[in-house]
Amino acid sequence: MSTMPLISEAARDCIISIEVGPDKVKYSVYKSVLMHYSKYFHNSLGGSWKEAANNMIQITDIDPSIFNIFVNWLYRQALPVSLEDWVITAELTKLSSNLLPTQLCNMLKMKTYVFADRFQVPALRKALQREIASPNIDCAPSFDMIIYAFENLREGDPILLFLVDSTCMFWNPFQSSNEEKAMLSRLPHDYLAMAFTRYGRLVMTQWGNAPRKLGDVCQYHEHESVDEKQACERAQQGSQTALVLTNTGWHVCS
Amino acid sequence: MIAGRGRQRIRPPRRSVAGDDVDFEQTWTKISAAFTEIHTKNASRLSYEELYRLAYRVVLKKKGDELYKRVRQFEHNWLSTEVRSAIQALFSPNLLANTQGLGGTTANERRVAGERFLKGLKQAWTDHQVCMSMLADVLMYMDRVYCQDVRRLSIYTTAMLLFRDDILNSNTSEIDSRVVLALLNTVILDQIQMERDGDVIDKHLIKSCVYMLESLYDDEMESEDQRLYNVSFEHEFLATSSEFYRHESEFLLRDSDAGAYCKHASRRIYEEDERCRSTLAESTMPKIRKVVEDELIKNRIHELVEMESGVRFMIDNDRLDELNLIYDLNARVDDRKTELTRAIQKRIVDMGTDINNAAIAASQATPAAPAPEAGDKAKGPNQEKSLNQQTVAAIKWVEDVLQLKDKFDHIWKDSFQSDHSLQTAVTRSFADFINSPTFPRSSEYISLFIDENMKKGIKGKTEMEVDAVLDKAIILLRYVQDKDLFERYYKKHLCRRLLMNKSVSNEVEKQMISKMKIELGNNFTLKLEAMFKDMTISEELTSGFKKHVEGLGDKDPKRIELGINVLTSMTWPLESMGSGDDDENKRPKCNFPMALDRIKRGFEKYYNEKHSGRQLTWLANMGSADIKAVFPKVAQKDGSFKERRHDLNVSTYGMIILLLFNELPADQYMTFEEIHAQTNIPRNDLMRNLQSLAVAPKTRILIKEPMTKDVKSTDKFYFNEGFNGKFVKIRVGVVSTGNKVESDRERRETEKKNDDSRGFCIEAAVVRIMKQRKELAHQQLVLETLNQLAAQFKPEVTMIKKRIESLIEREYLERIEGARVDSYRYLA
Repeated sequence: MSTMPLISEAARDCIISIEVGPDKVKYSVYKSVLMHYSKYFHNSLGGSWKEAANNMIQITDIDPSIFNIFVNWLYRQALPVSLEDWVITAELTKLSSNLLPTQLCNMLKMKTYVFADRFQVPALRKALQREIASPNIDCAPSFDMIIYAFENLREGDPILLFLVDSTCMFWNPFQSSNEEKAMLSRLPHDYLAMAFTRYGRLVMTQWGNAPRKLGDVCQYHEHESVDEKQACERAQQGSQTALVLTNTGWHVCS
Repeated sequence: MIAGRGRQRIRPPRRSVAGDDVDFEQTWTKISAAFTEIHTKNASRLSYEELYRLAYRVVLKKKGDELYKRVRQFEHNWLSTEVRSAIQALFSPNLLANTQGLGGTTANERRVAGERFLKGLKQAWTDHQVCMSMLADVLMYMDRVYCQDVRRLSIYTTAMLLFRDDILNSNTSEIDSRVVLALLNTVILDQIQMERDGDVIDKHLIKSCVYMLESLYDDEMESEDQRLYNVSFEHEFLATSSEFYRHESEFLLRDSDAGAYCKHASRRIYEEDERCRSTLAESTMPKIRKVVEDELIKNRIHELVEMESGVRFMIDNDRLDELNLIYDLNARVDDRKTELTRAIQKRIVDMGTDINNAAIAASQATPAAPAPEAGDKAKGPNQEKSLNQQTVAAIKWVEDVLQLKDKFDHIWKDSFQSDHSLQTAVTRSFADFINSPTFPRSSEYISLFIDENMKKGIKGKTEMEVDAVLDKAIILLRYVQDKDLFERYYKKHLCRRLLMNKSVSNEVEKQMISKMKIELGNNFTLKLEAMFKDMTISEELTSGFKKHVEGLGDKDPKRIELGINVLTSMTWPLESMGSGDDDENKRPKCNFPMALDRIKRGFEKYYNEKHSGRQLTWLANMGSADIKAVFPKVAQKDGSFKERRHDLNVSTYGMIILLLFNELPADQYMTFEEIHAQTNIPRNDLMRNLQSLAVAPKTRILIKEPMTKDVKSTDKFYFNEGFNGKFVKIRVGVVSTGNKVESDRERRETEKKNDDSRGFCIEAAVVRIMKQRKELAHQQLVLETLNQLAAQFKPEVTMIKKRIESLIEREYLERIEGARVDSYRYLA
């Protein structure tokens, strides 16, 4: 995108009515600003379509709170800063959602990212990529967000990879809530496939081609008594140094 | 793989498989319906948001591939049914007939049919582009996500290729296997041909079709040279143009003159350039230009130049514009302009040779020309006259050459844009004929021309005009190869001008010298300048001597005044001043009368006081004297009876002869032999002086017996008491005092002298080179010698060889024994 259009200049131009969401919340936005930042609006308002003829666009399947964030970004060329900012900008009250503030905020970011992807706003999309995949991330993304993202972004979008990686890195199965465990079954297949691949890769980058070995194989044997287990372990003696898989992760055994 | 190998394939669970499929078909139905609306120009009823959302959803659901295929199929169907039939409807029988090469249609009918077809095709193309850009807008998410990920061409590009395949490469009809593209080419070429024939065509329309061909590619790589325009149209265009211009040039060469041909050719080149700009593509410009240049110029330039109305005709008739055209044409195809240069050079040499021949003819025709009335006259004057004629011929030669030079300068400047290489060629040609071995006189002629102008030519001219004349002479001098020969002649002519006071202006003489200095360098003018110096010193000597004599004592009314020129013998070409009979070594010593002898000795004494050790040699044959003569009262033819006084200007010899008669009674005579015995004037000079004193009617101061033209040794001479001149002052001219063309004998002598001095120059050069190099191969020595002498003259190689031989004999050089190539060593 070239330099930002002057608002004064845009103000002399046409205003477009946009009706957003199932309740048709009405917005009036400068046409030239819209067309400048979004290829979608550029095509829609620049071609010989109904929208261009009527100076009116209906977008029913978008949440007005997301459109709020978009319009604010459009005129300010900046995203909200704090968690509160995000909520305020989206014109939501904390009460209106049962999510934690962090989760709510992350969800808003993700939805806005999907919006930017769909309506082809490259500048906004880039800004959000930096916002979402920031180096300060220290916890796994919520399953809600993962499900939403995998349904609404194209295969190969880098943010999807980010979601997989950050889960692999930070998700702690011992601390997950029951709710979360219940959602495990709903995780998208694409996500799981990517996670599986990613996990394999992590192992490879961590250990390379060093010889590996499963740890206590007796856990798969259903030994009925301690004696039987000990007998089995004796039979296994002589095994060399190897990587050992325990219940809690990889350890080096000698 | 784990359970039941090969028995049952475990398929990945696909969520709501059936639901999605139904979803896609429904979506596609909606999308395709909308696309049909777009193609039928009803887009304004459609919602972009709706269509975009549908396509977006489909792609998100990983159906991009399916969508892409469906769109492609949709466009393929649309083009090969709707559009193709619309195009086929444009083929009128006229159009098809014409492109099959059948006659029977007028140009106008063809043009109308062609334009209809072009318009229809252009319309179909434009519509396709507009629709496809709308489709591409709708399918933008697919383009960005799907096409980029799997590296497919964008839907727009794909659709353009479909137009190529389904429309341009489709058959014109079921029964006609030619494709639309071929028809398009033929129609455009036909239109262009119409324009070449003078019709007006719709350039804009053709240009839009060309744009179409330029934006479509033959392959998938989309490289510049694979554009349909290049692959299909341009190729044919160049081929047919080549054919057309080949025929046209043939026709033109046969039916029109060279000037018209040139005008036509440059107009055609301009037209084709214009056509590329307005009708076709600029990228074609250099290619078609080459075709036209090849067919109209390169392959024809020789014929064109050689035509009857070709370069020769243009030169002879001063067709400067046409020459400019032909120059321009030749320069287009050949940087060196070979053909034109050749023709120009040939013309210059031809015209120059004509001038040379005319000069030779004029100089040879003269003996016959002065006609029978000179029959009884003596041989002497006759020869004089012929020499005069030759001088006139010489001056005419120079003027003709200058005129030729002017002519070609003019052509060069106005028609050849002051082209450098042509200037060199012109110069070389001038040098060629001026130095032609069949015409050895140019050096002499040029010097004579200057001589003529110095003597009278510049009288009454402004400084500017004088300058122009001198410059012209210098220009010619530039061409002359044998500068040494010119120097010899110039010295000789200058010598006479100075000694005989023939020069109009000393100032101009000096100007000329300084011009030569600039042109030929210091060395060349050194001796000429020394001559001027001698003259100045002589003036001082004369006035000094006069003062000296006045200081000696009483004024003697009968005193003889002496004007003297002391000439350095090495500088002045004195031998050429002599009559040429006598051996140089025994310079004629004539007997001076007592009065003269006294003053001569007086001067010698005076001079020796100033410069001791110098020997003065008196050259009586070069001096002149003013005598006051009194003729006694005798009866005249007109009956008057009085004394007459005349101031006679005679040569020194003439004076000596006349003084003899002072002491002789009027009725007595002296024979030739007696005069010779008393004066010791060389016979030849004596004969000529007597001739002018006793034979020439206006200066007949002596009477000769018998009265014949020739002077014989037995003739007797009397003082002519009855002499009566019309003027008080009478000049007794001695024949051959002015500068004239040399006779053949003189020329041979001059050349011999020149060759001698060349010999010295060559030897000097060889010694200089060898002194520096010590040892050198023969070939190289010759080469370096030629280089060193180039500014003076061009020696013959045989002469150089002879000089080397001579140097070896005199032990300046020796041959190196056993050297691989002939080589010499310098002997210090």
